[in-house]
Amino acid sequence: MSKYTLSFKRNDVYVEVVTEDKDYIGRELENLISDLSIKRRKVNPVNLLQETYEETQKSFDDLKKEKQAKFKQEDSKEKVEIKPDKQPENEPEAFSKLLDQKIKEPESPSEKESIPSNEINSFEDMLKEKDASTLIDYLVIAALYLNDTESLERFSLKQVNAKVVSAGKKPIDHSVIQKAIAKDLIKIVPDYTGIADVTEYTITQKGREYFQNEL
Amino acid sequence: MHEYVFKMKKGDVEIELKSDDTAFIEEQMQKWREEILKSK
Repeated sequence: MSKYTLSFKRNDVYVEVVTEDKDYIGRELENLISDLSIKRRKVNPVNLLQETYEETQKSFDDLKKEKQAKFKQEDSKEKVEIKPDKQPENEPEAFSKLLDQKIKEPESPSEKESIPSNEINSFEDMLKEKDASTLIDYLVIAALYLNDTESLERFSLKQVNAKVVSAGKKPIDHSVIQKAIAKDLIKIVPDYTGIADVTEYTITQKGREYFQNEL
Repeated sequence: MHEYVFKMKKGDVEIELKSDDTAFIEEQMQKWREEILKSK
């Protein structure tokens, strides 16, 4: 096999390459001559490959950084979206205040027929004025009283019985409640907060009409 | 086997190519001779 020697000397620098690979020697010679500005350097495939690799690596790094930045933004957005769910404790109070405020706002006479306040003295007076005889009657009257007089649009069975029993009547039980619901005189108020201890009810329009027309 | 030397010098830079491969030496000389002559 032939042997090839390429040597380079400049001042006190001397480099010598001995090989049997003539292609290698040919490439190195070309590079050296190009450095001497004899001929414009041709593209060195090895250098080109190196440059390509570095550019590719850089583009991957840039893309990676961009993705990371994007994920960080998305994470921060998700955190913002989660925040409202983490404030359940304040919601019931805020909701109650809002509800109370709404209840206290004057209502148009066409929407509901409420009992004029100057005519209401007490729950017992209401019972006397109306020909109430059944537990459902007491329930409807109590519901209306709580809503219109005590501004309790939502009330519990306990609150109803506080009125009914104090008026000397028998307490309302759940069967009466169910009957009233079935007749659409009252309805259950859904608990959106998820933390209500008791079931709350409210009088319906039909319940008001029952009070006005049936009692 | 004969050994061939192809030597180029410019200023203080010297490049020498040695080989017993006549075809290779001839090829390189062919390749760079004109370029060397053309260069200013």
